[in-house]
Amino acid sequence: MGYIAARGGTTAIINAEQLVEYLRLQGGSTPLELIQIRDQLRHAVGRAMNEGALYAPMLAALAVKQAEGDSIEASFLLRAYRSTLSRIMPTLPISGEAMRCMRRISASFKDIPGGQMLGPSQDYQIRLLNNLIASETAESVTAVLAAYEQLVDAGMSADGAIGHFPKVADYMRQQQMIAPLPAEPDTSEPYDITRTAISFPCPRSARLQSLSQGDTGCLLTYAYSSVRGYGDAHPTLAELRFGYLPIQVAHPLTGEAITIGEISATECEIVSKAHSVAAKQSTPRFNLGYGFTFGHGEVKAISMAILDSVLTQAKAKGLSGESGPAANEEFVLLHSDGIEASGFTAHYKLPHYVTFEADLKVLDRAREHTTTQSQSRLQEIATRTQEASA
Amino acid sequence: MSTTPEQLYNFGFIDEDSKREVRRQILKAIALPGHQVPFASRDLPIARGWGTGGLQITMAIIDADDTLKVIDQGDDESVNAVNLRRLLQRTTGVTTTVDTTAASIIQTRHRIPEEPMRRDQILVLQVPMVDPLRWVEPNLERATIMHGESDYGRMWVYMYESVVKAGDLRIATQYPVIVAGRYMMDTTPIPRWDVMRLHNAEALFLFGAGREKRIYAVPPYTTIEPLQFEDFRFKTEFVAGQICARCGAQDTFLTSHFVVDSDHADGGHWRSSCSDTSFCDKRVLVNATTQEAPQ
Amino acid sequence: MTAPTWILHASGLNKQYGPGCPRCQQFTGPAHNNSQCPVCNTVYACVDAGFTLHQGEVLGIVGESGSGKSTLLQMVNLATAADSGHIWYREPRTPDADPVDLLQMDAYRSRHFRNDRLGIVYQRPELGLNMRFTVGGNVAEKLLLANWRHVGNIRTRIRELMEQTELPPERIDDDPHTFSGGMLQRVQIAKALSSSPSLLLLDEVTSGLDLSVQARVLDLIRRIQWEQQMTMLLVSHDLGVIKQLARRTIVMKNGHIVESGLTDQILEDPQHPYTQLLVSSAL
Repeated sequence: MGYIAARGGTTAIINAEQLVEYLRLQGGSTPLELIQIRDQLRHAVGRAMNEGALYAPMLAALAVKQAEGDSIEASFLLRAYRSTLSRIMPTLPISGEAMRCMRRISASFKDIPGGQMLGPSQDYQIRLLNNLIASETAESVTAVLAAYEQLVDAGMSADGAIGHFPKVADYMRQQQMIAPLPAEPDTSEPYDITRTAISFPCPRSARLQSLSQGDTGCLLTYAYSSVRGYGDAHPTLAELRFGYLPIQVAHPLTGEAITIGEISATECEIVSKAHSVAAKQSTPRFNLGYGFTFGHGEVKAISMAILDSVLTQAKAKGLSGESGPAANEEFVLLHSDGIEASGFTAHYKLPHYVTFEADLKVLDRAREHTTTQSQSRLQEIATRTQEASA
Repeated sequence: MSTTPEQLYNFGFIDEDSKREVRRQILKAIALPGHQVPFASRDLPIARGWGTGGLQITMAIIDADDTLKVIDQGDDESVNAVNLRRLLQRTTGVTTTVDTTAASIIQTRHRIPEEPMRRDQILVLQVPMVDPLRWVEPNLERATIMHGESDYGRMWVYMYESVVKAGDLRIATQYPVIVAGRYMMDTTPIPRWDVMRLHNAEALFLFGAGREKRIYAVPPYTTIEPLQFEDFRFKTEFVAGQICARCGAQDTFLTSHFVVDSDHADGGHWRSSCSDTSFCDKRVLVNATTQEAPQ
Repeated sequence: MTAPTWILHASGLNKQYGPGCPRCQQFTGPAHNNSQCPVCNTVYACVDAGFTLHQGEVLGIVGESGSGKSTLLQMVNLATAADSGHIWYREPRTPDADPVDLLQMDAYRSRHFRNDRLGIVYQRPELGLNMRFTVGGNVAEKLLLANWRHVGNIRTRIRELMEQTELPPERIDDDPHTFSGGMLQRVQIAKALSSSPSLLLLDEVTSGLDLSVQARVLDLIRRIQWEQQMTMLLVSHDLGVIKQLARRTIVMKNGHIVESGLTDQILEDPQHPYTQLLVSSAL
């Protein structure tokens, strides 16, 4: 069996790259500007940032453009770029309470302290394709902006933020529905999976970090499997908020907290119906799951919070016990990184001539063996039949 | 065919053939109370899991003469209820109401209205999880065989374990029941308060799960038995002495609200009132007109 | 004429996996030391098997792995559908009623028959038990299926069954993963006995256990048989186990029953060459 290895591919590789460029531009349409991508494809940009694990909206816009909209490819580009940056210092711990919210909702109580704020959301939009968007013009854009301008004049915030709100989780802690925060906040530096490879069992900070840069589709699938049937999650959304979160670092000399900017982020907390009975004497409580993403990524934040809660529950060997693939921490964390998963899956495109050749040899031997065996069995039976009849 | 406000769409959004298919499965579901009947769930302009099963049932059975009420958590003004009502109204042009007694079709999520429903009314429930056996057998093929053979032993062990481990039947909503002595059925996330209100009721209850693609039904005057033990009875959420802070009702399902109150330390306080808002409003109105103070 | 004392009468049971071909018969069966047709690859798991089981009797089925003994047991357990044949069952509680053919029952009735009238113990506990439930929950399953609806009474009955099978009743709420292999076999036996079945099926129940543990489980089975006059069908590859428990024995090879009779007789004076080989290698 002859297989000829393809070699000398340098020219081919260069030509292939050029062809990709050509396919992107062949229609002759106006090139996309990064600012357009950042503003008008905000979910694509947000997804690239949170899966690429780098908060950089303009670079993310570039990645989306270069990847021609492929979300894993875009986050891959961004994550690769991240390796060129040095880590200066960790930021100070921030609480979601510091968020200037554009939106915050709770599904556990009808009215919550501060009130439900729907904010920017497509949840209740009837999903009919909107022709008007197809025929948008500079004039129609100006009209929309002018209308909002009027609202701002009437007192609405220019960046959509409504204000600061207390956390529903804090209320639940007061009511002892969920475990209290530790008396002494943990001030040790969190596990950094970009510096230390994740090993198991892993601390919760490693789990959360790993989940927050996981592939949205993957987290969604695991979380969904757990709530649909292959698991025992019974989540209720305590709170989901989206808005601007200030980032602070400690001054290297004075140690004083300094705000260095704001990021847009989504934060989610879910409580789970299953009571924890890790310690049999302790009071039954809801279990809390936490989700966080850069940008506006609600489905991912909810999925992450569900998985966090399921994994905590599985570790504590809760009432219902661990069950389903989503309760297996190693399984979830080691397969949810979209960049790793797509890289490895795509690597099957690389030449495997050597390994396949070895597989072929094994297959040949197995075939030979089966043929010989079946022949000798027939032979044996035939001989014995002859003997018996003789 | 009736004219629709938006001519682009058929009356009730989905096409007539699909509606007929849904109606056929509804008839089958009524003939086999509590049995989950698969149906070809269509894609709607509403996300899966947001009531698409209930919507398809309503769209398939609604007529131009119907009067529609849509509630979510008992509340007519809840965002999702508003939204679904808006879609149904836009695509059918039917009259809508908040008054339970005036409606011919009520689509609901998580509640059965407090006012008893009549034989000329249909309650359409939106169902997220269809199969009570899912907790003990997630594989659909095996669960189907278990239903077929009424092999409910494992589910009963689940109930037994819940008593042994938590000291009580620890199922808050989606309480499993046996319908007409045969099929085990998920009551969808209605609270336990509402479970027995399905029992031998006058109205027809239709359950639709769009994502899971199943329809099931509890026809009028059908028995409903919650899974329970002689020494651990099924209990509703009722607490002795409970009272609605708005209308004073003492025998309704209550939910908690945060009331802003600047005098209060936390900037407000919590209070309980009827989850069925239209029922509560009616009583408030009656109380006001008869000048009777709530008890 | 006295009423017949049999409880189970099986005849003409067949089970094959594969389409079969004209040359199958030529190549399969004990005479050819072969169950699989080399031409069409059809496996003959059980061919024209039949036996009678009397009330209170223990019938052993012995044979090497692949001889068809477990297939035969699973056909009686109504878990493997026979291609043809009959399994007549006479309900010992109503001896005057006509026997029924278990293979003619629909899935619904056969499910309830299995739960109520049969008990089974497997070699691997995870086949007989749900490892996600507690020990008590596992034993409770058949009671719950039989409409026991009082948790207190159920737990009293579980504790009784645990005592009967020499399990510590205070471990009623424990996780089965914390139990040893021998204890898990006892849990399976307790579960099997919970519905007071007419027939107990035992599939290699002591294989894979340490010898001392094996002996204690066999003692337990013997005691239950003696105390409750339990009718049992016992499958084992181990003549030692068969000898200890079964009064009569069936010897299977390549899907066929090659010999049957009183266990003592078979051990003393085996007729079929295969049985002779089996006996000589075991002793």
